[in-house]
Amino acid sequence: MALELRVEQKLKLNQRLEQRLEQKQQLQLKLAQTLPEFAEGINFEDDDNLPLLQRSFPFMMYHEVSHPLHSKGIVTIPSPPPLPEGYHLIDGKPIPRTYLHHATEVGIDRSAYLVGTRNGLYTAETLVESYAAFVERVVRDTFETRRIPLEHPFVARLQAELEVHTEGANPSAEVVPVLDELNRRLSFPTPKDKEAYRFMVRAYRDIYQGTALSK
Amino acid sequence: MADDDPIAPSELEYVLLHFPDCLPSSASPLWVHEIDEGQEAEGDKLQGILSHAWEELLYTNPAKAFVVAARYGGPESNRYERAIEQLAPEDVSEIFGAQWRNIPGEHYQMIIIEMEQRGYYEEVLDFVIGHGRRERESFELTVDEFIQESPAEAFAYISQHREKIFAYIEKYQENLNKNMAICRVITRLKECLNGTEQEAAEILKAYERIDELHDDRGESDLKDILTEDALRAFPLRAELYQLCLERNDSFYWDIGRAMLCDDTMGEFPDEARVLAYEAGEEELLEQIEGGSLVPAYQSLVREAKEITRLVSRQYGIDLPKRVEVGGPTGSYASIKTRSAGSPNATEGKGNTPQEETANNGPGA
Repeated sequence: MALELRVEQKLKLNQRLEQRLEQKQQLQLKLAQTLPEFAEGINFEDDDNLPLLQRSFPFMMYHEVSHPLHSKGIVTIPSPPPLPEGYHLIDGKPIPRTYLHHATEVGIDRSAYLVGTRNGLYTAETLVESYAAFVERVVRDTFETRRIPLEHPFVARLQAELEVHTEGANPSAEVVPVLDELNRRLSFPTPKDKEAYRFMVRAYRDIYQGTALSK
Repeated sequence: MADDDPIAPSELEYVLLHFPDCLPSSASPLWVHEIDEGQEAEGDKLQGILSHAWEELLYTNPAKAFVVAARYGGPESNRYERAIEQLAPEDVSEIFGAQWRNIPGEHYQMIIIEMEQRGYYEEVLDFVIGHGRRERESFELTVDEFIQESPAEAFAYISQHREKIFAYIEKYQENLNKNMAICRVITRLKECLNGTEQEAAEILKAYERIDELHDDRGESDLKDILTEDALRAFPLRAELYQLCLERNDSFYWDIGRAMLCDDTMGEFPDEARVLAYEAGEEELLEQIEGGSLVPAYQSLVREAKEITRLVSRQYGIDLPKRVEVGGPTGSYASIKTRSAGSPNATEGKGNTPQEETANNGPGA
């Protein structure tokens, strides 16, 4: 066999070895997807930062199970105040629809905390820490990796909840650095934008504090 | 030769390859000499036509151009060197086949050595064995160099032609053991098992080649080399394992067992996990899980199950009991219930399945 052919074959072999290495790296997730216990029901996204996923997981689970509780009337969530005239845009993007959506989600977040602390699987402190880890992921994905787009109502919701947890008789120290980081990242093109944002934060704070469980 | 009566290319080729042997060598078709006085111009013209014909032959049929160069210029000539550079494996086979009778006997040995040095081991061995050539040194040298240079290719060739090689050695190489070629290549492959990464890659290549050839005896020989102990030390066993899996070769189980030993299991927790799972080795499965990502996900799944169980009981509602890893990007998490006729209905949000993607999870 000619020398040049042999060189070509060796190159091909190296390429195939590289491919196999990639396959090996993908194997772990494939395994997870094919094992029988991983069947239809609840999805959760994997994350490169496994400890952060693990920390945020209890809050996310309680948030998700709170949705059916809300639809069955077990969770009551106050209605949001209407957005005043002139507060319908932030940074040029319309906010009314997402404002309303996150008004419900704020109540669901509160329900997660209430349900979680009631059934005794986690302490209130662990759940607040879990919530802080969830916000950490959102901040990372919104401002660093930009995997998800910046939505001011979503950020206002997180800000409102974090603020509530830093106040009162038992403020949670875990959320302070997360809140500081969120404030550091936020910027507004005009004072009007900031006013609209603060309006949403106040509205969400009220909803968060007004959400209750009927059972 | 008149200008308006050009010689056809096929005739020129004939002249190049069949120049009358009775003429002196100085009258070769490529180097026109000793032209009668007053005929120099005609001689130059003939020289030009023949040289041009050879140049064309070099690109249309390198094997024939090589034979002409060898015949009239010899192995030292510039044309010989140029022709040998143009050869492809099929040209070499043609030289050793149909063209061999056109090459002067005094160049035979030199050409065999030249081809062997250029890596045409298979063609050389085909020729040596096919023609029953008796030069033991040449045969042994070619076999050994082939094995040293390309162990996988040598193994595939020797294994595939083992009966022919046995018969040749018995008939023409009385002093050699008839198993010498297969024994030597197996020894070399054993060296490769613990050699450099490039050498280790020869094992993978040998496996692939033998598989392509559907050579059962070769496969059996290779698997005898890849014992459980040898595999434990083999640096590319994970890659070999993948190859076996791709080919649905049950041999992967042997390789897997080599990975399941205490010393190396930690390096391949997920491969080992599959094997342990397939074998129903519960204890081993738990042991392996320490080094894998999968148990972390499993732990989250258990956590999710526990939360849904407790909330279901506490509030008397039906929540999903089964969970999975992986979700729509950007959702972080989402919950679904399964009911008859609506396998993916989203619970609690009042959404249709189509809306579900847009409204999934706490972040959406």
